[in-house]
Amino acid sequence: MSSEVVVSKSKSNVIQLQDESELRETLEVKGQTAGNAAKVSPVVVIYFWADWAEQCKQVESVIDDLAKKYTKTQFFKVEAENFEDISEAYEISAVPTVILAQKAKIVGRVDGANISEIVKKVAEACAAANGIKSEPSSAVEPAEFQPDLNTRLKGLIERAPVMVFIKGTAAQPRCGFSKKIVGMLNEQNIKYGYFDILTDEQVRQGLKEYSDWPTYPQLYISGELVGGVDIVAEMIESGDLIGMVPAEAVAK
Amino acid sequence: MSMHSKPSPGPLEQLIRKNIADTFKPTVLLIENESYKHRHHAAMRDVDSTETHFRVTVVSEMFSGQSRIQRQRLIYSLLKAEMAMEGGIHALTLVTKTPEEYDIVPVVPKPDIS
Repeated sequence: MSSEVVVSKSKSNVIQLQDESELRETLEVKGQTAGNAAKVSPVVVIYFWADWAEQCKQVESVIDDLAKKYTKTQFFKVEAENFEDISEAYEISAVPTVILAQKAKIVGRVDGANISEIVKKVAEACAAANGIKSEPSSAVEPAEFQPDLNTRLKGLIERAPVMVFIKGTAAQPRCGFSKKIVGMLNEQNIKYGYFDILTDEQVRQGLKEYSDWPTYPQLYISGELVGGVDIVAEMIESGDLIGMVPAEAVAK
Repeated sequence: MSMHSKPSPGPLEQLIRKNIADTFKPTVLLIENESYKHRHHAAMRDVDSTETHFRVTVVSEMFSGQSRIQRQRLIYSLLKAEMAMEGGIHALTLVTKTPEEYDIVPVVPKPDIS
């Protein structure tokens, strides 16, 4: 629980979400007039975190810094497990995840501790409303915040107790094997996070080397590589898989 | 069901067979060319090869004491070159069992990837 001394009387633009209604009300706020006198709804930055996901600390400090810069933008920190309805609505399957929302629309999304991407997307979406000229992202991102590839991969693997790297999304897989593995996890009532390796070439190639595994999909449980679709199928058949899945990842 | 007899193994399939046979001395080695199932997939559109997807079943005593990942890693590293090359293996479905395990489940269920 944050106990910062509130210096100014106005509400802070970055808050830890306590109640769903706060988020709902903020998203429904009528927009201010932008330069061209049209009313534009403000973009709200929603950052989903969990206390067991190590990389959230890094992302949280980036969120805090961004909030200091974009003072007219509202930032929410949402502890994903305490707000299941909101997490479901935004399809949050793993943390850290940053969502940029404009009323009912999602105008931006960053999965994982991709600091430069988070900074870039917030700048693109919020610069104008804050009266800041959009700068190229390289000017804004402090070097020490960007984790090296191995750290980033480790963070991605640990984003959820059960984490699968697939081609496409869980709702729309783009390969037969990815579709099969997602289907099996769903059938077994397992809660999992996913990462679409088609969206990130660096992760796609890097993870193969990191884990010494040449193909996708890849399933990780508690940060450890379990294997691809064949192995998962075999383990379901033998009954071995469910024993590896931590209790919090089994849907009730 | 096709009326034609199975096409003879292509060069890549023969290579897979030789590599696995030499290394694992398998009691059972089944190689099924499943490339036709993926021919129309987006990723295969510009690929001319008819040897892109294989389902390989290897039964060998050498897998004894090895986890599933270890077994598959052995096969992947054996076929590293064939997977890395232009027009090489695009994907493998692997079934790796010891003779004891294979006897318990003699009919290996085929996944439906459609």
